[in-house]
Amino acid sequence: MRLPSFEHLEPRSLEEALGFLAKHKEQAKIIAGGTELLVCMKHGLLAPAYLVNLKAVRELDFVSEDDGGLRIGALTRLSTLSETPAVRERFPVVAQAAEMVAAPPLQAMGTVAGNLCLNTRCFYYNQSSFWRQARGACYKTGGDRCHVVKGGKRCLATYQGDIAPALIALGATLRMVSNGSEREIPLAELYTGKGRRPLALEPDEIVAEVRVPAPFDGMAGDYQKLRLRGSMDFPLAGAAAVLSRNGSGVCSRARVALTAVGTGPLVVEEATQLLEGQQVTEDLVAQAAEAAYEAARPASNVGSDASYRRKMVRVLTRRAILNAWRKE
Amino acid sequence: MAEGELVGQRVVRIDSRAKATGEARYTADLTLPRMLHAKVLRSPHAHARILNIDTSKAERLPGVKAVVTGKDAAGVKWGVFRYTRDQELLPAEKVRYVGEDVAAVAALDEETALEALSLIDVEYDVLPAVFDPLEAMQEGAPQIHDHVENNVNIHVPIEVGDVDRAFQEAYLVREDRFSDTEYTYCQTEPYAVLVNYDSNGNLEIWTPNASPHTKAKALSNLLKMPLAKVKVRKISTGGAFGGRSDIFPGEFIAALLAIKAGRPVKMVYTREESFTSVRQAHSMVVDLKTGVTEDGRFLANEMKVVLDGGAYSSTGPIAVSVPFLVWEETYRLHNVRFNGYRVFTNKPVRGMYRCHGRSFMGGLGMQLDMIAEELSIDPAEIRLRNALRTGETQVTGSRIISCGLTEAIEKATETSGWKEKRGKLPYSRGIGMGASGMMVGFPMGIRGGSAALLKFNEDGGCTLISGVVDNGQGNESMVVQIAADVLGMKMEDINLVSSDSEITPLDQGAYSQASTFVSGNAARGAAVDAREQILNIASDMLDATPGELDLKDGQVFVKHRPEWNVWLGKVIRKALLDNTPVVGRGSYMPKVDLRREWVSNPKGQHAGTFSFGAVVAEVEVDTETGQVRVTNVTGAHDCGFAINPMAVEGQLEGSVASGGVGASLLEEHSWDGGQMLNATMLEYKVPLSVDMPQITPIIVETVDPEGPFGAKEAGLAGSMNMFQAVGNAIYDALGVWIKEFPITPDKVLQALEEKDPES
Ligand SMILES: Cc1cc2nc3c(=O)[nH]c(=O)nc-3n(C[C@H](O)[C@H](O)[C@H](O)COP(=O)(O)OP(=O)(O)OC[C@H]3O[C@@H](n4cnc5c(N)ncnc54)[C@H](O)[C@@H]3O)c2cc1C
Repeated sequence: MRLPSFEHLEPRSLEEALGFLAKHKEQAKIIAGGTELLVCMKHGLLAPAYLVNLKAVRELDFVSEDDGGLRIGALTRLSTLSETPAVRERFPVVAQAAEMVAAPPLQAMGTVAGNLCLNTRCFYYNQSSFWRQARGACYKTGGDRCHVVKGGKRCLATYQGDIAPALIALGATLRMVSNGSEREIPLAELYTGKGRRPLALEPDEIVAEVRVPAPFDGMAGDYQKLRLRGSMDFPLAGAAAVLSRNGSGVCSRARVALTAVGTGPLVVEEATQLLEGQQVTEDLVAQAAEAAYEAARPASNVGSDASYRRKMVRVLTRRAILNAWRKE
Repeated sequence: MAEGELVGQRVVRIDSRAKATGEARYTADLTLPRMLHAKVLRSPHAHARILNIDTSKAERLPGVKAVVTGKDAAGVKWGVFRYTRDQELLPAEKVRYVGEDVAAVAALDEETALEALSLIDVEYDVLPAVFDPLEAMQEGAPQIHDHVENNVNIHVPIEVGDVDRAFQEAYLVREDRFSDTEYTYCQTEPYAVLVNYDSNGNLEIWTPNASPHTKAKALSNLLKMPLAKVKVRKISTGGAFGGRSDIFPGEFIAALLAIKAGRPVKMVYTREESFTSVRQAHSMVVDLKTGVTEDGRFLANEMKVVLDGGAYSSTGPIAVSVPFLVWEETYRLHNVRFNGYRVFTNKPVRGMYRCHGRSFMGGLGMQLDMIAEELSIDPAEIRLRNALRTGETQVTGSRIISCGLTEAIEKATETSGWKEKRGKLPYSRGIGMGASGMMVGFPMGIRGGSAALLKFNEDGGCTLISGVVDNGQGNESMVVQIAADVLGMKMEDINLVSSDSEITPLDQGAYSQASTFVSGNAARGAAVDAREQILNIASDMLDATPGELDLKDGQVFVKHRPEWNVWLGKVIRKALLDNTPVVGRGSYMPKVDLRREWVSNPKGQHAGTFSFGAVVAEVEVDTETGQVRVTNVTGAHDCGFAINPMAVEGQLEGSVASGGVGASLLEEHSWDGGQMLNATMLEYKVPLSVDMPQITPIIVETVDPEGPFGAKEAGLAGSMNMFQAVGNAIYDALGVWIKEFPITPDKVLQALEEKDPES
């Protein structure tokens, strides 16, 4: 498979990169590690006229501690992220998730922002142009139908990023910059929940860094991923839980987020309500897991049967909550 | 070293250095002056009539040098047997699966070829299609080939003894249905071909293959060229696993383009094309009825298997028969009725993977465990009671000249701790076993044998010329090790010229597990012949009889007076001056019944010898997710004699991986009609290194009376037995039988839920 032709731009600073984006807008696409983008381009899913390569924008490549919290530069490699002592020691759930992305060679190439900005995936979308042409365009490729659910009214492409749930559960925010402006949003708000256009990201905008607030007292987290092989595979379902336990053994803060069972990462609000202010018992955890099961909306479009994956949400959520609780 | 000293040693293979350094060249690495790049336009429809193909725009595109369609193919058809010639390699009238070849372009570069494809207009009349073999057999199903009613491509009936009476006499009768999906080989090297055609009408072909001679013969038929003009050259092959034996549209189309353009043409498939448009393994539905005596001995076996053959015949008759044969080769059967059907569907063409019928063996091996349980017999014991032994004759008439099945079962159980573990591991952990026999060198007519030549240089070095084919198994190294042993030479002093259809004598190829047994025998014969010639000449020089002489480290010497010796180079020079140059000749043809035929006469000796193996697998199941992990595999294999034990162990490990762990648990294709949803290495789940179990290989040696130094084959015990071993281990762990392969986590959970609806 071949790459379509494009012009390769290599800005040396964030400012220069933003300038290119402002100039070429929809015609340009950011490339970081390229592990996702280049595959999509070879499949003919994207044919940007310009690739703005962030590789040389060193100011986006850092991990630093800040007020007890973390600042993670957009260009941080996943392998660097999981090896950084501050991450490993203070936010181990992030390292845990990063180590489960794809396989070691891809972690050495893939970046944090690239991972968060993953496009949604579908068996009918992530295919060669020859393959797709055999059955015509779907919602995701600009057509008027869904091939997964015949007669379906919307795009069901699945968000399968591995590190978003953990970061969302930690309450992470994103610093997003464009030519002349800057905003900070909760990570969860990056995701539109729409399979077709999953990211609330303007064409001239760059995710500059991820900010993780200081850990709450007695906080611990866990990430559980369902995949068929021991490495390489995107999640078929994933659940992250971050819990805090106060001095009297009560859960003071609980966040549960899911991936790969919907068009974007899902926050299970009900789990928070069930767990916060309570002694965490097996029974309560089972109820929270049930709530996650109810919230999950997997489609049969990324491998394995959807109903099986939905059931697994229950198992993964229970394990993640219990592990997080027991770690503390 | 005396004869028999180098064989049996753990030696570094002769191809290891080139493979490890990346120096080894594969087809896609090659370039020739003026070479063009080709691409194929493929059918987006599973079943359609081709009404018209307009290539005019593509032909006008600058850089395009040749375009071919079915018209250029002149309607010739391919099939492995005379009676199965049903595939037009570039069809003119009809396409029968998504991904079938419709037209092809050769251009200055691949981009131009791809652009040209988009300029070809094809008008199709889309026809109703059928994707399930059982549906395809029904009245009224779409007919895929005009001459084939109910889409039944091949029917192999085999009946021996009085089956109905035997069932009446049986103490216990069980009936079960097992099924399995199709697999793809996923060889590391995608399909590729390079063709060079010159003005003298010579056609040279480089393509990964398991037999250059088979490819050459087919192309000579299809292109109506003399065999001497069709030269399939040697090239490294990045894995075959049975998937490189047949003839594919790629080499035929590249040849048409090269002839038309008058320039070399290279075509490299994408991974997706390698999935859809070369070969896959058959899926199958297996109905088994088995009757046994009270002590668990087979009385009657009735088996029906329906294979999804995809759109064309390929190795059809072999594919249908082999599942049964493998069972027959393992156990003492008396009354059998086998009906095998290969059915056409609108899916990619199915061929051989490893050996046909692993899942069929899986079903039989699991049913045997069910029977053992009902009779309270240990699964190892019931296998031992029925296991064939040396000197016995299989139910359709093949005599077994060496058999280590009993020893393999005993060693595998002993080493794995079977007695301490089976039925005694905690819930969710289990152990299971499988056993099988395997044909070595089956009837292939004139193509079933091998010959080798050995010529000496005046400095005492030599070149072995053998048709042997190496797809990664170590076959090249094997023939060199054998020749070096016989000649008392170092392996590095023997140069090998192999697998070139023009230069090397006919050889069956890396096929029917015959390379060591047949090609190895031929190489040994050539070396023995050369050695005799050398000793004869030297006997004059040393004034001793040939029988008193030995050859070692480049010296011929008198055995009882080693200081009386002569340098080998000197002997060779004398031979040249005497006009008796040393050229060794050897050949071997397996002793099979040449009247045996797959469909019309399935009786008589069907292989030169048989190898045997037993595998014990241990699993651990996550009972909440249904995920199964194979933790340990102990595999004992009767390879006759291990010429290079390291290679034998490697083969066993490879066969646990390929067609074993992954195929029994994870590998399957998702489809939407005739379109494959997961034609990628990411979504088709070949096991990764982290998914591999700890493997303990055990070599069993029976020293076969026919094999070179007693060797047979070393490739298949793992993959033929993993299905039953894993299925049985899951039963031991959970108490549920899962009869549909692959045993994916959702099936495990479902079985657990059915067993205990409360959970
Ligand atoms: C075989 C394989 C297996 C994989 N398995 C997994 C897996 O298990 N889990 C998983 O999560 N991922 C997986 N991936 C996807 C991918 O490798 C990782 O998610 C990786 O982290 C992506 O990062 P990248 O830097 O390579 O992204 P790129 O490919 O460079 O970019 C991805 C997207 O993000 C955008 N982008 C990148 N940086 C920025 C930025 N700073 N601001 C705005 N937009 C930006 C790009 O424009 C593009 O749209 C897999 C990929 C492959 C090929």
